Amino acid sequence: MASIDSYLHLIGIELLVILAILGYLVEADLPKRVVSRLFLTVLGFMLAHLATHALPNQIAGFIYSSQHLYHSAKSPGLHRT
Amino acid sequence: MTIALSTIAGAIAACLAVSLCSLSSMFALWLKPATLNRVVPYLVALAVGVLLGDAFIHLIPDAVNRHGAVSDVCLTVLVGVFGFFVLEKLVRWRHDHNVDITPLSGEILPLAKMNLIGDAMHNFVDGILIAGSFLADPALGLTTTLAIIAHEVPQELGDVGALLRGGYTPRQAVLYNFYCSLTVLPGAIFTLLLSQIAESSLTLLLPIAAGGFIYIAASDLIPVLHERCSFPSLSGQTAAFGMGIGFMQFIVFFEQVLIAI
Repeated sequence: MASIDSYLHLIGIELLVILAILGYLVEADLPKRVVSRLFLTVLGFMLAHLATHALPNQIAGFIYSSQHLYHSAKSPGLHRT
Repeated sequence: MTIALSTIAGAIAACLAVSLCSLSSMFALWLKPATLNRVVPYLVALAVGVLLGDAFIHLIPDAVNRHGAVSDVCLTVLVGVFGFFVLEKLVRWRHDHNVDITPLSGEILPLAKMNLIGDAMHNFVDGILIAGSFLADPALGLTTTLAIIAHEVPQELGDVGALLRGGYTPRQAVLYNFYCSLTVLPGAIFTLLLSQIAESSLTLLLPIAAGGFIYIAASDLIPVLHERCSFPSLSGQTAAFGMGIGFMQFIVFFEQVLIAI
């Protein structure tokens, strides 16, 4: 079973694709602005998550991959820093 | 009963994937109007095959499997056909005075509105199925989602063909079709919140959706196919109709393979 993090990443990506296509299809000004803001909000959330969780986690994993103590200190469920 | 957050997130991700598939019909936007006019009758023929195939190959057998009594399911299908007939009469009485099957400029034919209602209902049922299978087992949820996506893509193409025939512009057809596909999310949320009621409501919703599809295909779309009687349209539309049924039958095999894995 995939972790909740993977599902949330998937939901974020799907929302981005849907909002990007909707932004292209919608012609009226107000809905287009709402869709654009929603797109930027979702993108902001995803970038913030990448900067604060995903990237530090990857870097830590890369730097300490050979350290036994790091692996034993990591929680087995959520791989967050 | 407590539901794991990952189950809820998985069901929502699957529903969004199904909604995303409805945007696959966007290719209609890049076609020239003349090409689109030539293609639409074949898309309508594909829609007829897909709608009838979905009703007779998927929805009715599934309802019989869940309910057990064929006579009750058939009666509910008939209630669905009757309900959609009344609904169309109401739509025509309320909004339309054009009894012809050719849209006047800027006018939307009832068949397009009926198609949107039927599609919304079908997607709501899909949401119930997706969330129900995720509740049972995430792996089953994944296979159900794949099966639904497989039948959704050809159906969305056919639906957009029907909406174009009903008088919508290509952009409107794709957008309204997408808005209808979003009913998959309320269907899933309804199931996640009230799984017991949702499971039992399927025995009613599946045959009613089937009745709606049979009604739309037989009364609204097939007469449109009889407008052109040349040999190319005869052979092309017959092939598209058969391909729609073939798609739906192929998905049954695909589902069986997925379940066997």
